[in-house]
Amino acid sequence: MKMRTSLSILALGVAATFSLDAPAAAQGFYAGKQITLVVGASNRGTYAGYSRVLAIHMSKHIPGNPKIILSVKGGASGGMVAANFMNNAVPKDGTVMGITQQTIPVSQFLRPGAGRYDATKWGWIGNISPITNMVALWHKSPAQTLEEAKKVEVRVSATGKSSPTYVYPSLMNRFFGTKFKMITGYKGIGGMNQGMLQGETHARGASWLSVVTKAPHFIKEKKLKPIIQDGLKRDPMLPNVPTFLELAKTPTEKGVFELVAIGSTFGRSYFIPQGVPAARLVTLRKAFQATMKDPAFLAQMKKQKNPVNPMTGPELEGLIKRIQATKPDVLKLAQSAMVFKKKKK
Amino acid sequence: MLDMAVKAAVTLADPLRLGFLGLGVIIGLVLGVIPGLGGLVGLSLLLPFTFSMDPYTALAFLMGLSAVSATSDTIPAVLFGVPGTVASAATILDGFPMARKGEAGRAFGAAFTASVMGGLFGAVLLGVSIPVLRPIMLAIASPELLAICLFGLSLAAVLAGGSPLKGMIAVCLGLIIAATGEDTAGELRWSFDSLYLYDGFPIVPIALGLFAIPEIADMVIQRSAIQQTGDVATVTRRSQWQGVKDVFKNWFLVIRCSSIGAGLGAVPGIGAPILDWVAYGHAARTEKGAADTFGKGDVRGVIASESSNNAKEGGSLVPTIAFGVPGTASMALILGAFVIHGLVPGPDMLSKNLDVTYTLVWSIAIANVLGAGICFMFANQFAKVAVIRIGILAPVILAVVYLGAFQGKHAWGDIYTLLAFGFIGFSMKRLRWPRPPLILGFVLGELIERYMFISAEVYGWSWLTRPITMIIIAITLFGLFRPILRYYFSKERRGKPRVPFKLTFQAAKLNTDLLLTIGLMVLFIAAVSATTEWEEFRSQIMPQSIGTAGIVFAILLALVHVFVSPAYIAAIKGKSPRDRIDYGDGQEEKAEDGQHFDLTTDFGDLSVNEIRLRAFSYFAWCVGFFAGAMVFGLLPTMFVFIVAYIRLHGKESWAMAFAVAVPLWLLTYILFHQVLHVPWPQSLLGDTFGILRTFPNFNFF
Repeated sequence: MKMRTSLSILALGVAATFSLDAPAAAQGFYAGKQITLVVGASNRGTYAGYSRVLAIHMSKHIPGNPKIILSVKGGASGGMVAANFMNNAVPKDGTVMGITQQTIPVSQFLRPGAGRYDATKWGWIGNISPITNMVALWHKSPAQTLEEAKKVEVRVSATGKSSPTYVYPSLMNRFFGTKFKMITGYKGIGGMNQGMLQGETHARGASWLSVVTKAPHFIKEKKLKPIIQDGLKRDPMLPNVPTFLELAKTPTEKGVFELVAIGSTFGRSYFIPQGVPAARLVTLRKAFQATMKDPAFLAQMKKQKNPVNPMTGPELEGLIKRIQATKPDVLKLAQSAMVFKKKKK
Repeated sequence: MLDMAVKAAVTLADPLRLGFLGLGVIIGLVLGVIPGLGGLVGLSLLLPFTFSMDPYTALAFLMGLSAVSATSDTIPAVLFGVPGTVASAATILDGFPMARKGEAGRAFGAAFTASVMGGLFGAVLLGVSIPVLRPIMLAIASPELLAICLFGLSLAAVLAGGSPLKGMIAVCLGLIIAATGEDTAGELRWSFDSLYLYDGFPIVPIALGLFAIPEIADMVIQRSAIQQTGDVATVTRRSQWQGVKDVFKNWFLVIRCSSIGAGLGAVPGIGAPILDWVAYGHAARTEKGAADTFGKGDVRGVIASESSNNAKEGGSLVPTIAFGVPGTASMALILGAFVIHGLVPGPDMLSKNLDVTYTLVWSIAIANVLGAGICFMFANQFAKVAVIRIGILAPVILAVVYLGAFQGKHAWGDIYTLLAFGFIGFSMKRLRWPRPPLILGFVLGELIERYMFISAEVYGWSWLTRPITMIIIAITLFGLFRPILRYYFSKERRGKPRVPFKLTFQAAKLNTDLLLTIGLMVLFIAAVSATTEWEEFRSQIMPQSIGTAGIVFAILLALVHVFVSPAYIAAIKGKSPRDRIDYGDGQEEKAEDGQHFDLTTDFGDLSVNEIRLRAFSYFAWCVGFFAGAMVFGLLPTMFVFIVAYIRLHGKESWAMAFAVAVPLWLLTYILFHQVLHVPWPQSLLGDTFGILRTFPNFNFF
């Protein structure tokens, strides 16, 4: 009895192994292959959310239809872990693509030596959408406009000092003279919302998308009012909110804000490591662009309320070049205004 | 409201939806049995498959999966002393001794019944409290959360049993470990430049290390099967029925522990790793005679832990529905499913989409009944494992524990953590240090620090004067001081002869116990001295105060240990000097104190040298497995390890070695590689020959 059970399990295992190899045919490199999509963020955020949908639909547009599976490297360190992992450890044959946190390419210049990666050498496949960060005031806040926030202290929900929820309000304090007091320690978007609902804080940062998907009633009931957004141009969802760039007073300030904006423009961008044959990057870019027009993909994204404003690989390369061209004085100012994480000794 | 509940029931009664709910339950049960895997893994894997379902079906499927992993995780906890998920760690303390006494059937009966009761209680509580959900949740702000966490931490005093100083040191150690990694001020505390520690230790390898590795070690040292006494046919219908009756006899305990589970499940961040301990601590404090029987196979310990961990599912839905704040990590993924289906958590869930909310309630209820039913049917099959020879069983459990630990962060660091905590856990168990306080400190440390700073910054000292906070703190203080007060006013104390307090040097006590104390003291000193390099006060304050407390407790313990006479200690603990047993070389201090809420193993007449030799050989195998994995990859080494261990250490035949290793390896390969797509850690072999990593079906080097 025991032997028979073991045998049947064995047979099942062998069958499972080989059935996966079956469709190998002359469909080019990707036929019968499998692509691993490394996600450098928690498995419950929008990085993973976007990637799950992409994985399902992009496969149809790659010749040979390789299966795309997700490998999530989550947690606060996920972005850095995925960047290092993609840069150094994965096979360079185009079977592994990745997405890391949008701040990673800029962070390479703001915190040199912190990571073991070089985003300027990666092959950028494409971007599903820039993700706009903002700072918004709660309807019970003592200040209701940017001008008023310069006069009274407003408590802001934040997660930790290295998070955009802390960096953006502190940028405003530094350059616009607002009196935000950041309360760190809130857990995620939900925790920050709860802090406002309970009257502990009166404002919060993070992406506007996090409001749209997780608390749209805040918008409908006019409870949360965005006063500033980043990005190179205004987000279509926030046509009446000024960008940091628009409010810049000096060229150096403008340079700093541009760096910030480029970070969020990277949004949900996918890449392959350096050293992958160029033809495969072309294949993946083509498939990515086709997916961005795929009605099934768009329908699923719409249902999830995730915006799709795609950018091509070459456009992302252009952004990288802009970061590289940042003047030293701008970089120095940006470092002093944005880097709160202690340098390792 | 009632009509909505009925409407939801009718919606869910659709055969397809029930079918998916049942499928979810089966997947959840399977994942719950395998240590390290649980509802969370299943949810992230299956989320994409729900895209094309309607919201009711999708949520029924996912809830079914998530609700029952806390039912089946009892099975490895009772049989091997290995927690199936972190939620069942407390079940081990009484469940495993029951299995060793031949009462696995009764333990299962009680556990499954308690699970289903707890699960139903959580669902009902959620169902009836919907109208008042938001106001209640709005009243629970950071100060209240801080008070709740402090209450949880205070239970460490109960779980420390008769060794308060050791318990305090264990709590401090847990709190220090919890502080590792990046804090909210951006400081990387004790991360040693390692990306692995950047966001702290994951709980899975710590829990498996502390509890599973020492359990296997003791069985290997004893060279016995799991079951030591009793008949071979351990799980009969009658023995299970006995467990069922136990639950109904202790119905009030079930209600109390379910309330703890549901209530704490609703507190974001607390969740599974802790509420079973809180319930267990509560039972140990309030049940009659618990001090003497808990931790030694008392069925009430199993009931307390199991009813609480299934009730959490209903509880953790509360903040998810009311605010979109996930109560647990699994809930965060269910929240993801909400978004995918265009549902918005918050006020709508309590008005417009009330039927969806009730679908969730019904799903939890049905899943719990179904899950427990399936477990009842198969329990006797599982229980046969208890008579397998340890030479065959040990490598199998070890291999599964390694794989489970690796689910922490999918990095080599997980295995280092597993082995380090395995050794700590083994030392603690051997030397009768209570391990539960360490886990409590570890889980609550981060939360306490977080809520403490928010409370201080937003409320100042006035956080203490909020009514709910005051009530919780009063309960906490009462619980802490009651045993002390009761002791001083008890008749027993007056009746007993007084033992004079005398400081004398106890040469016999220069033993390994003292060595562990000193080792931990050195660790605390090193930890505190490292904090001086940190820049911000808020990064330093918690680690420094906890570390200093740890040093003080360790010095105190060492002094008491070496200079105070055992007779006096025994008298303090309410024992007469005659209850004490000779120390020998310090390894056999069995009956020094009756209260010990942790497992102990009696090695019979094995000599200490023999025990040490066997322990050394066991850990050598553990390290050997790890070393092999670093060179050849975790999955390939697992096969070699199992065969080698069964043949060389277990002294079984080659045929037996392969008969065990081949099917097990194939199952692992299919589940972890093909289904879960686990990103395997990178071995030297794969690093050297990159081509090995290019075949998707064999990409495990």
